[in-house]
Amino acid sequence: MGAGFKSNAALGGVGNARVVEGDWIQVDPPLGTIALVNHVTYLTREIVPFIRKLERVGARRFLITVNDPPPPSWQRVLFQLVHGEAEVVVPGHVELVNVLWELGILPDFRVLPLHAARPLVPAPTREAAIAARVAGFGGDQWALWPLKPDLEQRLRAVLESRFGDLFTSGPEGFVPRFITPGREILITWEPEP
Amino acid sequence: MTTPDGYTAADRYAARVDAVLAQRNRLRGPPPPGDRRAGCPADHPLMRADPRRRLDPNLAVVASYIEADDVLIDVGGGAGRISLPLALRCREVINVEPSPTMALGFRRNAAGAGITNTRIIDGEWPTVDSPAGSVALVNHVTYMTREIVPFIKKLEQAGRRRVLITVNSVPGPSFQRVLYQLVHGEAEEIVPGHVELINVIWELGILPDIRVLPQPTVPFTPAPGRDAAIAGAIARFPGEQWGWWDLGSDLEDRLRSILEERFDELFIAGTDGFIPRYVAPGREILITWEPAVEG
Repeated sequence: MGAGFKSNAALGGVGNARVVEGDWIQVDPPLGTIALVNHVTYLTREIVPFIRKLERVGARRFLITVNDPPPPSWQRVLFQLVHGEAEVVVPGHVELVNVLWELGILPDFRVLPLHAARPLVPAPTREAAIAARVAGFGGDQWALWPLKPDLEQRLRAVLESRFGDLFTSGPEGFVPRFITPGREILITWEPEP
Repeated sequence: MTTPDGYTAADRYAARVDAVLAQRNRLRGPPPPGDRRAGCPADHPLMRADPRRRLDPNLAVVASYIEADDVLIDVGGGAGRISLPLALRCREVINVEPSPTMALGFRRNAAGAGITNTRIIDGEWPTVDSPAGSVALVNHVTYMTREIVPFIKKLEQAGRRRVLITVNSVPGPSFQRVLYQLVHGEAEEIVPGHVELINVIWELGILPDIRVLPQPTVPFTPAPGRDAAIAGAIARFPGEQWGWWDLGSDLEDRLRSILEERFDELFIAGTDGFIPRYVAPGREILITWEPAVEG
């Protein structure tokens, strides 16, 4: 990701950006005026030190985006069909904002105008729709590594046998019915004066 | 939607109201029959506010959601402190208000400002038979609403274009919790505020915007002298847990002696006079959404 950031910055001629490599909790970040966190908090177990550290580096404002429902739980319907059990859903805006309130922080909460964090791109054919879902299945619960062959076979069999239930076809192609992309949410506050 | 403890957010909301009412009944007795706001003085800010005044920054944010063609349903709109200025910016304001005292204040304030596009419906939300409008507005009303789900669902029917709810963090009926504990010798049960309300709204599948309004809450004007500060504190104390009726002589004596003995701890002297230290007024919060269109 760091390399991608640098490459995109170079591509866009952006010269005022740099990367500090490291995990947020462990890293020693420079001070800034704004702390920004986009779709990062879903699997952050120690959320209080995560937020406290944000408050140390963003002198003027904090910005956190999450999606409702959270993208790492978008495919919960398919997950249940494949694994035979309900997915344990990652914490989203409800859990995060309740933690902020518990910390005495009173943020603004804005539902952003343009639907979900990541649009669902229709697949042009049945095969492409199945291939995309197989490729994307690891995104649930952020298990982003390759699927084991038996899991991939089971997933593919579910997608093939229930294709008509699981996908809807529109003029631009096939879109999964089992994903409700929802809306992106901005949570933002200024530090206490 | 139940949570790991087996309760819904609506259950927790109702339990909070129950706890407040149980404590209030035990310590203050049951409310007397009749109009609960009958004792509100005619010059109280809730009763008297010029509709043509310059909008304060918080009301300006609320007003920014109002369109010229709107019919605004003001739920528990009192004497029109918020909705009468908005009546100057929309087609009609309908105030659903159960208190005859407040209704009278609303009519007086409207007439005094030459505002004619308003009417009042006498009744309690959500059982009242109310017309639908385009915007439903609720200002600082939800703190003691036990059945919060039907209350919110009816707001969505009344405000077909937008729902606007304001609450304070800290809730107004729990501003004086420090003094309450000194007087009653036990911690005050706190009314449900923004945390409890927003969790219910989320539980209903509603995704509102939540805005911390720009102007910090200023609940009490400074008192010019020590005696006035004590008198003001005594006059305000019934507002806690919305127990607006007479304190009774025992409780008033106890309150007065605490205020006298601990005056320096409880009040701070500023350039404009004495302000209670025991109140942390916090900020006003606006919760707003566009209801999903059915059918």
